[in-house]
Amino acid sequence: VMMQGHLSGRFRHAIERMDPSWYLASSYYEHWLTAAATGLVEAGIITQADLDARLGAPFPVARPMRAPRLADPGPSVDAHRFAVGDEVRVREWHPFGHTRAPRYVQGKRGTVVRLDGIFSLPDVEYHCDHKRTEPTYSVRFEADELWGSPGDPVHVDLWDSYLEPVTE
Amino acid sequence: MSDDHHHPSARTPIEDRVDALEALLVERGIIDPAAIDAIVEHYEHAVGPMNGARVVARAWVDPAFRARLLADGTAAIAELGFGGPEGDHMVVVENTAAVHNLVVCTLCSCYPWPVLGLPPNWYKSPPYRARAVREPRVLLAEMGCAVPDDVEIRVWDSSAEVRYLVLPERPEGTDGLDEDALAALVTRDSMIGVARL
Amino acid sequence: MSVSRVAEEGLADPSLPRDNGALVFDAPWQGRALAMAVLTVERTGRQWDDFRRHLIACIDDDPERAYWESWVVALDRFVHEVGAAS
Repeated sequence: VMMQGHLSGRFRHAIERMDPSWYLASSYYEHWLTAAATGLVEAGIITQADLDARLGAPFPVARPMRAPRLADPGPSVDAHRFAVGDEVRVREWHPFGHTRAPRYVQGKRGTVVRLDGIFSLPDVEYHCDHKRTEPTYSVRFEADELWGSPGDPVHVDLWDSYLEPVTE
Repeated sequence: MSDDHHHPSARTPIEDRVDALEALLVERGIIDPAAIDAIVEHYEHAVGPMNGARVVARAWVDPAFRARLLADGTAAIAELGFGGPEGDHMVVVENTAAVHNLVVCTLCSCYPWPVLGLPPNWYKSPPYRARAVREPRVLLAEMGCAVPDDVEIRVWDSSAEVRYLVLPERPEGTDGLDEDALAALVTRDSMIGVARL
Repeated sequence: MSVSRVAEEGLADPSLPRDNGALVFDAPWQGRALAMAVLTVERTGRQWDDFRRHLIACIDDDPERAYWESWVVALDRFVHEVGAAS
């Protein structure tokens, strides 16, 4: 991947958007690689999924650029839609702004194993003057489902609106 | 600590230099000696993994506490006086003969500060965060933690408000030890899940 | 007790020597040097990175030198930078 002059501005911006603690501990080459990867993803030349597939794991890129502010946080939800044992699927979307739905589970199917408390949804809180609160869950995903090969299960903590029921 | 200000015997060159810097900063009104003492005091008693170790040791000796710990981690941990930011929603996951638990935060570096202190650098590193979910068994083996093939590894990604503490299995041959001695056996790494005791 | 955000940042500096997560000081002057760096940053309205830059430079200047000795050299430079010694 060769960085041309016209990408150097984004390159620097991508470095600035790296998590600071990560930046301070990284070597020069890790900075370069992160910025290069981020630039390519943001320019639409490759997708995050391509990077993740290449690495075989979520490929860390710099934080997304500031998304537009939301005027309306949407309705808060005060009751869990799902119960322990329910099969759910994580919505698949690529938000421009902040989300706490890890990319590696988006679109994946899992089982609710625990109901947790009701908390402010970060996707909204980061971009809105008002909060939206929702129930949270721990959802278990099998390795086959996540990576297409046998392995050990992963439990991910997810907000209610990230989940859809699985229809048989 | 503050005694050193008043007992200037056999100072080494570096101590002299630290003294000189302190005197300079105090003279300029930038800091005062009491503030230095307060911060040092905080660092010395700052939260560390011994908090979590005490929770684990209590669970090993007290089955009723263990049950409460697994049912409501936050409340049980609070019984021992621990809690606070990043520890308001604790879930304790127990290792058994059939299950080994591993904790990660793939999105950043969420960590149960009140019971484990500061996260180690490797926990915050992108390779750990990516590989713990993608290939936990290989990763653990590389970190010196061999998990038998018939033991399931459960990875917990702290992607929301819950913070996790692993309750390791009590090592064999420890029947005669009291709670303090047991706590001394518990390592931070075993409570994250990258080591077995 | 609660401490400032800068103190927490200082406490969390990844270069500090640790044992199983807890900070390790061989002698009292080391803890004082850490506290002085934290307080100088805080009281002059600087960022922890402003001190840390000096620390990294001092370690690079002499990688064989003991960590805390480099720290004190860095603190010295930082104190002069913020104008405390002018």
